Amino acid sequence: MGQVAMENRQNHSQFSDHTIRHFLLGQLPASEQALFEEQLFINADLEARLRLAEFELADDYAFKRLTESETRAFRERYLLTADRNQKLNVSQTIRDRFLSESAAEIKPTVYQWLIPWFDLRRPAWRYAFAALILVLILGTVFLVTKEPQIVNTFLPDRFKTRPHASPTPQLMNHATGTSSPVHDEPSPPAAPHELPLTVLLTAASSMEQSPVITLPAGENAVVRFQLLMKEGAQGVYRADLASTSGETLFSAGSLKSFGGKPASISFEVPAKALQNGQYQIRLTRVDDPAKPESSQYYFRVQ
Amino acid sequence: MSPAKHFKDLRQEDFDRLLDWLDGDREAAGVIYEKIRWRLIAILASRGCLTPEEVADETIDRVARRVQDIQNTYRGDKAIYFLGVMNNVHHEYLRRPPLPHLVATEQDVEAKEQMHLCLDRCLDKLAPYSRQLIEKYYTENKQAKIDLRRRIARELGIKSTTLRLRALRIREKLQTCIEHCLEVSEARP
Repeated sequence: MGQVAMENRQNHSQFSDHTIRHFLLGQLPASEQALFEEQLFINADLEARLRLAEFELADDYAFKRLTESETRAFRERYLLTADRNQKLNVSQTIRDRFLSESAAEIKPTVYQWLIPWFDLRRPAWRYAFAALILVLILGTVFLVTKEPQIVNTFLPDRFKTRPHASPTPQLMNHATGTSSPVHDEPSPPAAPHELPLTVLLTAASSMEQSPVITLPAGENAVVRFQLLMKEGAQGVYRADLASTSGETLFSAGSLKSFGGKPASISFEVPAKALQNGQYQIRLTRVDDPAKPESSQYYFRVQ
Repeated sequence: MSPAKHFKDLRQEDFDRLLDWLDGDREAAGVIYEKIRWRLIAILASRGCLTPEEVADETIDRVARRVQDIQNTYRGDKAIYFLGVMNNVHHEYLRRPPLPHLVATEQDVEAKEQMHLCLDRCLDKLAPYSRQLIEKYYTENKQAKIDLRRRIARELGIKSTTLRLRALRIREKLQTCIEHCLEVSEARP
């Protein structure tokens, strides 16, 4: 029993500064009060701390650092002896002396007022710099992603990005090969693409047997004519597109046949050069005057 | 304050016996006596006793009267004996009709001036390091207290808790010095 009491005393031999202040202000719970009183009589260290705490308490009261309840307790429960009143008088004298000194020292010049504002160690400056850096980063990201043409004006040519094939939205935004359900995004309608209308013509056809074509719409629409030739035909040719009246509407030179069975020559004519009617194409070999080959091709436009 | 001041009804022989019981050396006994009285006052004030000095003196008075009977038989910490007697005296105090609470009056202008003079003198007596420390310690406002103390501790190369203890010990010295200074000035014609 005695050993337990001793251990209990040892455990409570180290009272916190908070507990000491509560003792001085008469705010200690009854259970702690008895133990504290006993310790105060046998623990010289606690007594020394209590004496110093009295000075600190008087200073805090004089310098108006106590809470409202502490201030009330200080007046009602602490200032009960002449000794303590004298401590408070000294604290107030110290306050008058040093606070008036500090007030005099602090009478600020404009320079002294400005110095703290430009002290870069102030947290406000740190936050401001952090915010500035964040804004710069976000601005840069915005420029690079949204306005690449502006970035390109600053970048040297060797750093400029080269055009590359970009994945479709589905490839970009949806992982492949996962077990997650496939997101069926409706594909957008294909953009109008002006593929040339290809017309295959043979030399054997007559005007009556000639194919009828419908001109493609569009400002830049073209009609590609692929003229079939006899097997093994080689050389450089010129094609003349003419109306039935013999008026040449379009000519294409330096046409080379490309191999195949049969060989053929291709050239394109702007669709706007054609109208409804009958046309003929005269294909003439131009690289060898000794072999003046010529063929006729016919077609009709509706 | 001299121990004898607290005893109005105590006979000198009882008081001498008390001091002898506390310690064979009269100086040491005086120190022990002051410490016990200070502790009694601290406890009584903490309990809400409005006249802690009177109750403490009454406690010491009773112990002094009993020393003759207990000095040969009592074993243990003598200070604890005071605590037991104080509990009895305090119980009796609580049964008495409450006295009006005396509120401390403000110092008059002359006393304040004298206090300031004594503070200046006592500051001059401090070692340069101590004076510098205490001036920095108190030159602060409420908001800057924590920051300033941390800065001072950093400048002096010590922890904040060490700074606080050193400052309070210097404050204790100042208190003693000022009280002595005031006593001397009062004694002058």
